[in-house]
Amino acid sequence: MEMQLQPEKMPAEAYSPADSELVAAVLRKDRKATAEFVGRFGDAVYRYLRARLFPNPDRLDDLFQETFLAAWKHLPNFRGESTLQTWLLGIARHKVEDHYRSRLRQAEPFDEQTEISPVRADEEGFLNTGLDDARRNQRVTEVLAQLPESYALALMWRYWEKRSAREMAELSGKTEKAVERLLARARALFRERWQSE
Amino acid sequence: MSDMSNELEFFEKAFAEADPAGRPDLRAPARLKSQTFSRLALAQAESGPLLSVTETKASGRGLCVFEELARIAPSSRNFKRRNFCRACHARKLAEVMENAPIYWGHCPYVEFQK
Repeated sequence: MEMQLQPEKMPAEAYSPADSELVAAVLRKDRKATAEFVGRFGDAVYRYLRARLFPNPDRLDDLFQETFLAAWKHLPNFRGESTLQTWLLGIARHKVEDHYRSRLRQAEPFDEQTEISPVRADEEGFLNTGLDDARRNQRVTEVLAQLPESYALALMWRYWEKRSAREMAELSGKTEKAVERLLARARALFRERWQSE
Repeated sequence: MSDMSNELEFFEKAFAEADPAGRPDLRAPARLKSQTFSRLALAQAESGPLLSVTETKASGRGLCVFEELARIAPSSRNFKRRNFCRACHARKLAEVMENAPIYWGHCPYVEFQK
């Protein structure tokens, strides 16, 4: 399935005329321009990939290199409609979603019998934690790291990549209902772990 | 508002704010940039010769000491289009070391370590 780039969801820089000059030089196979291409955008691509492969960055190096190789392959298609960084992050996003799709397909079948407990009134503390922003952000990543991989991936895909359950279903080859159940279980376990400390 | 919609709102908000992709302090390891540049240069060379070192310099980009030697050497244009980094020890060191002992100017592998 062909995925659509959504550059508006990526952190963007102001348009730079230097982008088109750099693209032209890389396409001429200017070795120094190619090095500049990696040097200038490597940090942003790395930050994005590392965040999205959390908490298991075992494929980080591979996806980083694959992003730049794919960029080189598709560079003649770069039209300057977004910044070069935004375009590159769009390619990185494709790589991440390929990874999510692959991992979710390999995941164990989800336990359909497990009851999903709704939020109870006495669990309001989950929603109003009283934590300051920094501590809450840290806690989100701590709890995510404790979840089974399929649950963590589902939550990151839904809330960080802002994909709907329908999009996730289309991309992963699962039914929308299955994805919704996966998300519900992931949220329930997240809530349970959040409250356990 | 129901408990369920409160919960969904919590996830939307907490995750959006906790997204680590926006942290500006994280940098890619130099060895990873080095490996990536090497693979890119290799892929470029496999699809035809690179831009010659003469043309690279003419376009305003600096050459390392070895590329400069290749540029001034009385050699063919094809020689000046070779991927000299493949034979350079700086590449080999930079691909495996985060702080490789390489210091000369206009070497991409040195630049990645800055």
